[in-house]
Amino acid sequence: MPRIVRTTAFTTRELRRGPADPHEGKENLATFQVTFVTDGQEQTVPVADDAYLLDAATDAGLELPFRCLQGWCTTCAGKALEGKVDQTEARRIFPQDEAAGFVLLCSAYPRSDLRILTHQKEVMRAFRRSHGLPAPRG
Amino acid sequence: MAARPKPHATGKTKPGDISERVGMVELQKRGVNVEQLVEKLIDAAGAEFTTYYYYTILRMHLAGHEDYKEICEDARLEDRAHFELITPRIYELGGGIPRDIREFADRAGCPDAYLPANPTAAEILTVLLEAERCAVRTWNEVCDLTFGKDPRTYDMASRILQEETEHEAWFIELLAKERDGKIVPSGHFRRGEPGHAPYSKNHGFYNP
Repeated sequence: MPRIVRTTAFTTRELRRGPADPHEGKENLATFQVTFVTDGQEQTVPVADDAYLLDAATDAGLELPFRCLQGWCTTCAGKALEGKVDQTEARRIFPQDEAAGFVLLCSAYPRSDLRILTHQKEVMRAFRRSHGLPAPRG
Repeated sequence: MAARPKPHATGKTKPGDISERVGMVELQKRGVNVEQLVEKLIDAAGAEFTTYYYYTILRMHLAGHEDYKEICEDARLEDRAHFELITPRIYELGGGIPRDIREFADRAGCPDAYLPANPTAAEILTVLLEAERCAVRTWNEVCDLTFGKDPRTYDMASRILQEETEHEAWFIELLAKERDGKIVPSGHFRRGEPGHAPYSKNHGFYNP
């Protein structure tokens, strides 16, 4: 089965090049309100449009799971209940994932206000399996 | 005084029974989810194997940086040693690696360490560093899952973790100097020979 997968060589914050200050030269930086929903608790965090959702959550004191920080392993997976993201930097995200609302928080930028259900690793992996798509299993 | 529980002295495996392994039953009695552990080990083995493969390419493209090449070579061969060390444990625990190598690579727990589009030494070192960091997180997780319950897997995971931790420190040192002109010593001493793997190969089964 031909697979459509976006891959990029560089995704992590260390791999990002350009100005040391990510805000430098961006005068019209947008900021969105992102609500993370974990075990029924909600926390809303302002997130700039060039900040990864996981970084913003971590900076706000939320401890969310992650491993590869490159949008591959799905450990950080969440599900967007409302809103849009840009996760073109993820190493492996399938159109089916995105259609179902899955978001790899480590490599996704906000593109609107968002409500995101966190801790969706097992759900996303089960979804991948049910659609014949690859993912780690452990 | 009440007798203390002796989990090693219980169980239902009959003499001569080859349908189950006491080596697995004992883990289950101590609360290890063996099925989940095996899946995690297969993911990790896939990551070590693909990393070994991709490091081969990264090493080639460090041409002219002979010091970087040799250190990359140590990490490359030690990741292969990790794959060799994990695989027997997977089978001992009733699992196996996928018959199709593409499936194996697809389920790896860490991403492919691709050659960067602009393969400067700094870019390559960055890829190497992030690959090691994913491995460090993976093996810490396996240690956490097995500590005090599965001494054999814990011992294996902690040996691998020791080397992955060293690899991360090496690549921080090299990247700091190459990219930022900073000195961040890793504590690196030269390995005995390429592929030495002082922690993951000091158990003397055949592993060239």
